[in-house]
Amino acid sequence: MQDIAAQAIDKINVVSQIFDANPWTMIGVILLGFMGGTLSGFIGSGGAFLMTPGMMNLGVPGVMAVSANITHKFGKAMMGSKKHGEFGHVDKKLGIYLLATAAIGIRAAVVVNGFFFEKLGKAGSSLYVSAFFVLTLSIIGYSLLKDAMRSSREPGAGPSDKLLNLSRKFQFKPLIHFKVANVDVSLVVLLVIGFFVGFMAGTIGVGGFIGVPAMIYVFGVPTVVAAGTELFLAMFMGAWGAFNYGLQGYVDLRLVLLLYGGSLVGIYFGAIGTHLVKELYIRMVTAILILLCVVSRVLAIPEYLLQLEIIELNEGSAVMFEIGSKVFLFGSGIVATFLILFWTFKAKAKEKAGERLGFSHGLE
Amino acid sequence: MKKIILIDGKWDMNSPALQYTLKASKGTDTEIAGIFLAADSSKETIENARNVLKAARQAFDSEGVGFSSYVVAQDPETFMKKLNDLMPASLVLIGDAKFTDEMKKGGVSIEALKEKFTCPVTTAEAIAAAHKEKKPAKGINWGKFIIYAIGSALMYGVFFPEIDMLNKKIFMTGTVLGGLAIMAVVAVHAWTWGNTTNILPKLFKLEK
Repeated sequence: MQDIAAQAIDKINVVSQIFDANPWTMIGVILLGFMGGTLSGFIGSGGAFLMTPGMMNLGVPGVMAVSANITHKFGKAMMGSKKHGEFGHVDKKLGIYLLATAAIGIRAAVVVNGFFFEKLGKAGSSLYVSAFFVLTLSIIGYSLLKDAMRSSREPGAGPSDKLLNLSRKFQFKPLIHFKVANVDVSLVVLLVIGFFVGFMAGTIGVGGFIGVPAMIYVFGVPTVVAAGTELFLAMFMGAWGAFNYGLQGYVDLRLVLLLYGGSLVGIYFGAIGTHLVKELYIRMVTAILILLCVVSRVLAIPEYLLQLEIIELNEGSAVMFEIGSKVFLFGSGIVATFLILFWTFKAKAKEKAGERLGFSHGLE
Repeated sequence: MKKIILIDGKWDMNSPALQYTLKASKGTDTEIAGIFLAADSSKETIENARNVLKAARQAFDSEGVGFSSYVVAQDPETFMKKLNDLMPASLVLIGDAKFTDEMKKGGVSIEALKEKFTCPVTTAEAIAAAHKEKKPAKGINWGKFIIYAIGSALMYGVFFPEIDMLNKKIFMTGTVLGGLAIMAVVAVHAWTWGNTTNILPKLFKLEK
């Protein structure tokens, strides 16, 4: 237990120790930022689901990876939202309503995350974050994949309307109309979803994976508007999360600035991609990537259990789990980023072919 | 020679689709292959469609644009066969034409056509909407870029190496001042670095 207490106290030096032990870790964080930024710009969320576990794979404690991520979310969303705003993809009114309870959700998550770090140290914090990650994102990833597969079988089919129809049965008054998204949503449903978005963002740094699907499947918001609005919402949630984690002393700005080094390069390409790439591809990438990251986290859990002396594992198995986790995470991130950039440039080339005919806009 | 396949159910020469097609074809060595998507295959409908297409031919001829036309009923097999026969094309433009449920069930929809053909497939609405949204190209403001780039260099070259020390003094002290300082640094850095990297899509010609 002394070791655990020492880890808890040493949060100021833990990142220095990681960087001193292996300076290449800094490049790893920048690469994570680039992949996360590209994905985030492309699907409106998704940076965090890759960056949080990625930093944990590099040795950063769960709570500090989450706090770096949510702090980074603030500025990244600020720039991403600006870009989506230029395309008219942001419903600010919807974002503000969701934010009202998301702030409470974030505060609750900060308290819970801090509790695990203080009581169980680095491994306990990472275990809690990983378990939460696996539990929530496996459900979300599976649902998204199922829906994307359906759309691929039936060209032209939009997102599934099952949840949308279900939510219409719970249209408690008052209903609020959102002009940009062109939907009417119950205030009660809005506030409940807002809390869960905030709690998820505060716990694993991933709010968009409830926020974006909820907006698409429950509220009936078009995918591009959901992505843009999520970035707008993420800007304020990130600011609030950064402040709250800052109050507990968990934010190491080195991680944040390194993430920015890559993410604010990638985010522009991702955001332009939403304008050029087919919606089905956006949904397909999101779903597959979430599930691959879940697999990566599942493979990371035995190491934390070992550190907490909950299970016994021989050295060879532990190394295999660790390498497997990294390969799944970085491999899937690199492939997805490459695909997004490839589709974006390909779609642009197709648009230019139309431009030569005098049709400079509107070609998909 | 380029070819535009125009699919329309009315062939109104004043419609956006026909106007765009005319504008794009004039003086550009482009021929038009027109498909009149008829609601049914009755004799009367086909006759009417042919008359409308005659008027369209005259309009294209007067502008010196090559024009061939076909009347096709809303039958997925016939429609796809005709479209395949007309390929390769430089563009497929869908004007005032709605595909029936039978066509959609048979795999004929705008999305399916986009998937099937390598050339661009678009609608008159998409082109009109994009033209409406079109903003004047901003280009690259090199003066602003240099200022932001210098700011970014200072952040990464001067500020970043000092963070370890500043963490102990301010950022990781767990105080309100620490929390506010973090938010201020993040906002300034994201704005500075974000506006520096903003140039990249323009350099890669993804944006004008």
